Amino acid sequence: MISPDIAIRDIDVAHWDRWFRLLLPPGVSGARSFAIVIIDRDRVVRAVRSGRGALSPGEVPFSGTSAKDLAALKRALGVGGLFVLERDALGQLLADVERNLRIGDDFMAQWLRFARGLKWMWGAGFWSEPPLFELIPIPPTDAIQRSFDLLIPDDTSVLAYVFEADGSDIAASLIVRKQQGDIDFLATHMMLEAELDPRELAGAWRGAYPRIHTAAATHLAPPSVGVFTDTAALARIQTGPPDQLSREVQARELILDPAPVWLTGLVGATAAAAVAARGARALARFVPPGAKKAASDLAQSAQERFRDSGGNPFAVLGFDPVETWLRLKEYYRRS
Amino acid sequence: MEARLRTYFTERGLSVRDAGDKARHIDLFAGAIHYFRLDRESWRPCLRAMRELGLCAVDTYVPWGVHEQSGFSGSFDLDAFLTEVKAAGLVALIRPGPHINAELTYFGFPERIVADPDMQALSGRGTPVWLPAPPRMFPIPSYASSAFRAEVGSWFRRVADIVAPHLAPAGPVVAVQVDNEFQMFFRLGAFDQDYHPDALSWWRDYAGDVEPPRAWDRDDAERCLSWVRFKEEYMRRSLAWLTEELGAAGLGEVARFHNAPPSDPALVSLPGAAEATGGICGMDFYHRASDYDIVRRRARYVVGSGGPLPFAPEVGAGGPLWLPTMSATEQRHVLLQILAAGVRAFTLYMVVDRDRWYGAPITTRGEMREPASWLARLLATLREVDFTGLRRRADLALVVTRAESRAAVATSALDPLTPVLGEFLDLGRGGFAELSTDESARLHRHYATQCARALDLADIPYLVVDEDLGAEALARYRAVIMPTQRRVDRRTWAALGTASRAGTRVIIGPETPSVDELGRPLADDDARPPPGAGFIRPESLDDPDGLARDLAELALSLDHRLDDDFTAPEQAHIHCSVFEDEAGRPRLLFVGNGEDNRARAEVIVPPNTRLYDPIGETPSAVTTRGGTARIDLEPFGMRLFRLESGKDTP
Repeated sequence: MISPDIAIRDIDVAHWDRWFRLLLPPGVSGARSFAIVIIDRDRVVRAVRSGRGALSPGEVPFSGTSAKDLAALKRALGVGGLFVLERDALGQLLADVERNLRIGDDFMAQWLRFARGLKWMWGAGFWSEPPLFELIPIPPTDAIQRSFDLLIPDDTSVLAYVFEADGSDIAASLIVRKQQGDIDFLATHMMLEAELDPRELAGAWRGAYPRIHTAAATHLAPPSVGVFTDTAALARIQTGPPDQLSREVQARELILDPAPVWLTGLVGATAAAAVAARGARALARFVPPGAKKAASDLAQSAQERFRDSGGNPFAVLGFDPVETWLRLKEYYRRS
Repeated sequence: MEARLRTYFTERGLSVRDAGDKARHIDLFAGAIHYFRLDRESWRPCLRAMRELGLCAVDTYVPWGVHEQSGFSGSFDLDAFLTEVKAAGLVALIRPGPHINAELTYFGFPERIVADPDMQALSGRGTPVWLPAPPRMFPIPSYASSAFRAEVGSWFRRVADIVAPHLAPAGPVVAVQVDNEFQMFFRLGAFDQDYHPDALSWWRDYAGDVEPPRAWDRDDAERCLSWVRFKEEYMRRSLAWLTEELGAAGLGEVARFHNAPPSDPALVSLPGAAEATGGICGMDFYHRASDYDIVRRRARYVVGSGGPLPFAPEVGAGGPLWLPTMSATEQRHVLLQILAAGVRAFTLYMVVDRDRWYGAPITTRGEMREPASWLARLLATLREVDFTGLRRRADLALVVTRAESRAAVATSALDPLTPVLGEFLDLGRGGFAELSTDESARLHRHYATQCARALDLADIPYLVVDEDLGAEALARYRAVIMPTQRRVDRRTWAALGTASRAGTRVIIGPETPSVDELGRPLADDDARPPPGAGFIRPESLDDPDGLARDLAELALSLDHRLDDDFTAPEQAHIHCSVFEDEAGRPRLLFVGNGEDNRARAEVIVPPNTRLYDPIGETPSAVTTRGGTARIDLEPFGMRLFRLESGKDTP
């Protein structure tokens, strides 16, 4: 997925920074307080709170590793994230992973090996609150590669631009190219700056975005996916109801162009899921439990049909990206 | 020092001995350019732009992996590039590795090298030791491996064939860097590595015929602590071997240097690296302005411990995408923070843009862009005031010791997690030592941090001095502060006694050490504190103001110059650094703001002195009323002023 010879050029670092701020839930990017508790079976060996230093084991009300215990401990320590590790967990993880890493494997594949190692230890040497590995699926590497190949054809580019809501400038941009199965080029708007003035573009982006297509096709590769929106619409999508994505598309606050079938399918699926969920909630007020279950099943089956349809590139991943997205949205709302 | 060499470092920069044995001085204001990442046609305009910017030296890696794949022609023609450097009127610092990083795949090593099991470092778990660096993780090499060493020797000879004819004084190459950021590839966990058979042979040379430990064992603390200490020996031995290989290849006649990674001083040894290379050792700086305290402390360590020339071999001008992002404005403040501490030589890394980098002030076509104009003004000012000839007085030294920090690494509850990551995670004032299960090691770091804070609060000029420099270096200061807990290095303890007897005031504590660096009890005579030693109060840990008052009294008792000129007496977060010329005249003033808010510093200025800001957007004089200059500062900002004769603003 990532070429060993990847070229990274024309980077506007403010944009790079802003992508993290725009895409990470505010609770993650803002409050980074955490605690690490190292245990030897049921005994606390050492505990540290970020920025505040070590606690003596007696100061840590550790009572176990159940979800309830961990949530209580996190509250007691007054932190945003809690990691509990058995003392020898890290050594075991490294022993397992480093024995199996291969030179030349894709970077993503190498990290997935670490992630799988951690997931393997999940609940048996490593715990966290929030429960990261329950939220984020870790599909097999080849499934990700196959999905990636279906999502983005070789010799094409992907364009993502987020404009300031007042149209004053480009807030964040990303231009990548895929060749031979790998991202081999990464840049920001600076790459096209000579012919596309950022402020001029931002002032009229809904009409002017095709010029980005043309410039990218000339200098890099024809785009296969283009996502253009502004900061306000992005915030609404992150915090609004499941079908906010499709609403923004309809209102042209989010422009998907080019929009391959999988992308329109994804937008449709979020709308379908929202409608089904609303239906279930509305019915729930009036109908007996049996009928309520039927409505809920309807929502479930809509998502399953999407996931299992042979035509969609996410089928091979083994999880439903819409479902994952809906779960993650909670973290934007809570913040 | 290094008098037999064609070039050598001095306190001000670099001296080049010409054919008639006459020395020519060069200020070492350098910029990094990677010829192998540019079209050959770009070299000339880029080098010209560097010269116009005010730089006098170029710094370039010579990447083993790239040349092995692409040869030495076209854009990879090092010989032609060095010819261009000379034609541009610049000198060159060459960095042939073998480790270079440079955001290259496999850190610049050829794939066949990192793939060879004979050359790979081994973990305590019997596996290769992987570095998770993009765009490909790779197993790091063992510098003890004889197979690796043979390959490196052969690589150096290929480089030397091209570079040797370009050595100064006839050619532009004035210095060679020995390896890069030696810190065992940042994996410093106590029992993480290197268990390669050849490394274990080094261990046996060092420790005798004993098995290396693979985990902390309280009942075998001596062997465990010895293993952690051995890694410092591993570094010295590796750098000494590389220096020897460079010499054997024909590159031994110019000055040599090494660059420690951005790091807590306890995790590197600048004097150790300098001694091993027979040159100087600096430290790299990739920081945000908010790292204000860290930058100033590390820069003081470079000034106090790196050799005759305090050198920052890499100061971020832009950065790679995989570090926390740094804006150009922040990096201006960081560079000024480093200079304010007394660093007198630096390389801006990168000056010329390239792949896998952002923010360089010169494009690949040789065009200037921000922050080039600011850098040009800064470099012109440094020349104008003869910056490398100015000095900042510092009569006090804070001593970096390792007996406790080694114990902190050895007893980490999260071993093999590297303490380098522990520092990065903001675990508290004890840094990586917060993870230690040894209370003495953790508290030692707390006191060391607190002492540095208190010195800052009291605005007392001080330097950070490495214990490896020994008694002579300590005795140069009127007072040395060395926080101690349970452990102390025997040599350092003896050096402290020697310095004390030579008239240096010594402050230790709060505890008197009772065991040595390997945990062996000190005999009664050895355990005695240096004569006349003062003690840090135990309660100082939670009373930085009190400790600052104590240290201010100490400075006064030394008859240290503590008049109010060039201070902001009511503003503890404002720090002033004055630089004087040889005659003791103040010539340059740095004013810094240690807080995350805009500030207006009120700095007392002696009569008939005018502050002039030569590097602001519009260079201008600062309004002074009633002997006080009011200076606006950005959060964690630093400003520089030329001091001129002139009257108060009416």
